[in-house]
Amino acid sequence: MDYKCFCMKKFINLKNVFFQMRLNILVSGKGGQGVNECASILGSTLTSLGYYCFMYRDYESRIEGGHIFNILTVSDDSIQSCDWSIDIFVAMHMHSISFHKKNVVKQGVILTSESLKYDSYLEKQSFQPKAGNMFYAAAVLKVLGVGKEALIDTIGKSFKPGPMVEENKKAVELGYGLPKQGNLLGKMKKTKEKLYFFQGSDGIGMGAIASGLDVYLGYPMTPSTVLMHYLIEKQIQENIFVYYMDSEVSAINAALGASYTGAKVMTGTSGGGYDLMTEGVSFQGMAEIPLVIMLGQRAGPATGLPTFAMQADLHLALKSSHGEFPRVVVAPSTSEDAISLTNQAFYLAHKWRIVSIVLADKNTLENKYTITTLPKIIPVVSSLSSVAKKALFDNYKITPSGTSPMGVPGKVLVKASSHEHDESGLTIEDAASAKAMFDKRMRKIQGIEKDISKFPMVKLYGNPRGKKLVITWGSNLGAWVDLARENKTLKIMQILYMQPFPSLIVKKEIKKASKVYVSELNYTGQLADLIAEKTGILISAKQRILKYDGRPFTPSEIKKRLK
Amino acid sequence: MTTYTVHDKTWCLGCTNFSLLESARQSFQELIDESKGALKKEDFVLCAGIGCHGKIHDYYEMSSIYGLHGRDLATAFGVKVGNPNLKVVSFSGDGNAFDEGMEHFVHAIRYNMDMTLIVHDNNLLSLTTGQPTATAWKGLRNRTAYGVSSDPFNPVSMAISLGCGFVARTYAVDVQDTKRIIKEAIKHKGFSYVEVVQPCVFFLDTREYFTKNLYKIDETTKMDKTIALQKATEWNYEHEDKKIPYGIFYQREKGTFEEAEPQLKSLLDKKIAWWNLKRSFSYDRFVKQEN
Repeated sequence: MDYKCFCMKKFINLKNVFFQMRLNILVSGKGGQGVNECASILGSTLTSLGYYCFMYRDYESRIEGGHIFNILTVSDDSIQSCDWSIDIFVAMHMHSISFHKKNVVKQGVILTSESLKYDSYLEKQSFQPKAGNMFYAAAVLKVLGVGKEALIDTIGKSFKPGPMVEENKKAVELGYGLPKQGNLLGKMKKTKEKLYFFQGSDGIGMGAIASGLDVYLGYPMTPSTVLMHYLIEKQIQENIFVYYMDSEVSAINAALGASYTGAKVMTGTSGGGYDLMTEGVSFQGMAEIPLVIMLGQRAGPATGLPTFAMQADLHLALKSSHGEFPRVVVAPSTSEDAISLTNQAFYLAHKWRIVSIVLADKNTLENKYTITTLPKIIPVVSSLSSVAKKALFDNYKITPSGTSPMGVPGKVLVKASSHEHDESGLTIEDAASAKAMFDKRMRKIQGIEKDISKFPMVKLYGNPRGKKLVITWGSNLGAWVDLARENKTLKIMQILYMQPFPSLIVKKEIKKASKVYVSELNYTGQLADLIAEKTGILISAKQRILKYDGRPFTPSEIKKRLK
Repeated sequence: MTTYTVHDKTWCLGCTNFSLLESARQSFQELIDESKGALKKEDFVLCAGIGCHGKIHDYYEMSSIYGLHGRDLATAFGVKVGNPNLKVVSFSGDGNAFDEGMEHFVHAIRYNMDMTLIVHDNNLLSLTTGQPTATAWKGLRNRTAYGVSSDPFNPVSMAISLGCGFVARTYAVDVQDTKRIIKEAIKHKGFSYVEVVQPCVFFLDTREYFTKNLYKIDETTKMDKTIALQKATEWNYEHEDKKIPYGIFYQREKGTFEEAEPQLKSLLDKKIAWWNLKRSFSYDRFVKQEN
C-alpha cells in the first residue's frame, strides 16, 4: 500500500560552528567494578557544568569480570556519537590496558589503577570498594581541570542520603588528590541552554507514563529490560503496575486482557521475545484492543550478541504476525525522540485501537544523551463507553473512520474476539459480514495517515542544500549528524515513522540529491529495501553503508566509508 | 437474567457441552441472585481459548474474550490486572489447557489470582477432528497409526501437588453437581480449577464408561492435601475398569495475587478499575535540569 504524503518533515539546524570540540573519555574495567556508574556520574557532572555529553556502553553478557567499557564524549555542542580517538583513558583494571592503549591520542592521559595507587587505598581501607568508581571519576575531573565540588554535588543528587554518600565523598577526595592537575576542558565553551542527561529507555518510560500508562507486563530480555527496571523504579510513585510474567507469550496475552478492561497497557521485549509475541500481535489486529509494544533490537539471529546493537528487526516489526491489519511502527534515535514517539505510539494505539510498536535498539536504549528540550506531551484519550444501546455493546461498530468506541466490562456486556465477528463481537463466517469487518479495520489506515500529519515523520539535518543525502534511522543517526557538522556537503534524513511510511517526502528528497546513501546497522539494508518497496527507487549495494558486528558506527569510520 | 445470545449453537447434536453450558449459566445466575445486588451480570468476564469449548464465547449474553489457542489463562490474568473487581471465569479444553497452554496452567496456579478455570476434558482435540491430547489414554487409536504411546497426564493430581487452592472434578452430564461445583469454585477466593470430564459423542463416546465407573467422593476431608492426592491418583486417566472419583478433592484458601500487590489491592479496596484513575504528568517528577 502506498501511503499518501500528509507527512510533516522537520528541519533541524545544526549550529554553524566552525569547529566542534570533542573530547573522548574511555572508562574501562571488569564487570562489577562500576564502570558504567563512573562514566554516568562524570556525564551528569559535566552536563551540570554546561557541557554536552554522550555516553556509549559496551559490555558482555556476564555479571562479573570480563572486559567492559564506556566512552563518554564531551562537547561544546549537541553530540550523539563517540569516537575512538581517546583523550583520557581510565583502566580500572590493568588487563583493560591492552585493549585500548592503541586508541589513546598523542597528548592523551592514561589513568590506571596502578598509576593512581588504587590498591594501596583499598588496603588501608580508606573507603569501601563499592565507592571505587567515584575515586576514578574524581581523577578524571582533575585531568579535565574541573573542581571536585561539582562531582560531590552530583553524588548528593544521585544517591540516597546515607553512609554510601560519605564513602563516595572520601573516594572523591583521594581520587582527586593524585593525578597531575590538567586543563583538557580549558578551551571548551559552556552552554547556557537547559541540559538534561538520560538514556533512551528512560525516555520511553517517561513517554509511556506521560501518556497515562497503567500497566506494564513483560519478560526480561536485554536490552528491553532497562525499560522495565525504570518503570519498576517509578511503580510506587506513579501508582502503576509493573510485572514480570512467566513468558513473552503470557505477557502479550495478559497485556491484551488488561487493555480490554480500559487500562493503558504496554509490553516490551527484544527480537527473540517478540518472535514469541507475534501470535498475540495478530490477536490484537483482530480484537482491536489498544496495545503499545517496545521492541528493543539486539544483534541476532537467535541469541546472537545479546548485549550489542543491530537494526535487523525492521522487517520483523513491519511484517510479523499472520493476517493483515493496521499497525504503526516508530523508530526513536535519541532520548528526546524516545519520549515523543512513545507518546505518539500511545496516542495512535488508543485513538485507533491498533498496535503501536516502538522499534528501538540497544544503543538508543542504553546510550545517554544530553538533550535541551523536553518534548510537549499530547494527551492520550481512549474512546471508552459505559452505555450500551442493546444487550451486548457494539464493541466493533462499523463506522466511517473504522474505529469504534470500546465498551468497558463491569459497566456493559462487551465481547472481544480473535475470531472474525459481527459488531457485537459474536462469531460470523459469512463472506459479506467478514468483508465488511475487514474493510472497517483497514479503513483506519487512511485516518491514521491523516492523524499523523501533525507529527514529523522524518527529520532532516545538516546542509539543506546538501547534494549528498544519507538516509538512516535509530541510534545510527548519531554518527551521521555529528559528521554533518564538519562535512557541509551532507544532508541527513532520519526516518521516524516506518509504518505508515513517508514515501513521498523520501522520494522527493532522493530525487533532489545527486548522491544517495542508506546507512544501517545490519547486513542486508532493511531500510534500503523498505525505501525500494515504498518509493520504487532501488538503492544499490554500493549505496548501502552497513555494519553488523554489533558495534556502532563512529563519525571517523563513516567518513572513510563515504569515499 | 443471565441468558443466551441468539447466536447459532454449532456444537454437535447431543454434545455434552450443552449440559455444561447450562450448568455454568445456572451457577452464574444463582451467584448473582444470592449476592442480593452485590454482584451483577456485568461483573463477569468469561475467557475462552480455541477448540469446541471456545464457542461458549458466542452463547452467553455476557462479557467475554475469545482468545488464542492455549492462552486464555494469560488473557484472564490480564483482565484481573486491568480490573481486579471483575469475576473472571476461563473456559478451556484439554488440548487448549494441557497441550498448547500447559505453562499458563502451572503459572496460574502459582499466581493464585482470584479466578476460575473450567476445563472441558474429553481427551481429544475435537474441533480439529479428534486427535488425542495429553489426557488421552495409552493405546487410544484416534487419528494415530499405532495408538497413543505415552501414559496420560492427570491434571487433577498435578493441580493438587502444585498447591492449587480449589481442585474439583465433575461430569458434564451431571448438570446439578456441575452447577454446584462451579458455584463453589467461583466463590472460592483464589485460583480454582474445575475439571469437567465429558464424552465426545462424535469422536470418542465414553458415556458408558463414565456412567459405570464414576463415584462421588466424600468431601468432608477436602482440607487434607494427602487424602486429596490419594483420591486424585485412584484414577490416572487410563482406560481400565477402575473407579473414577469426582467431587471437590481439595479446598484451602490462601492469599491471592491481587491482595498481595498493593496497586491492585488499592483498586479492590476502592472498587475501581485503572480507567477510573485521573492522572497528570509533569516532567519535574522524572528529570531534573542538570545545569
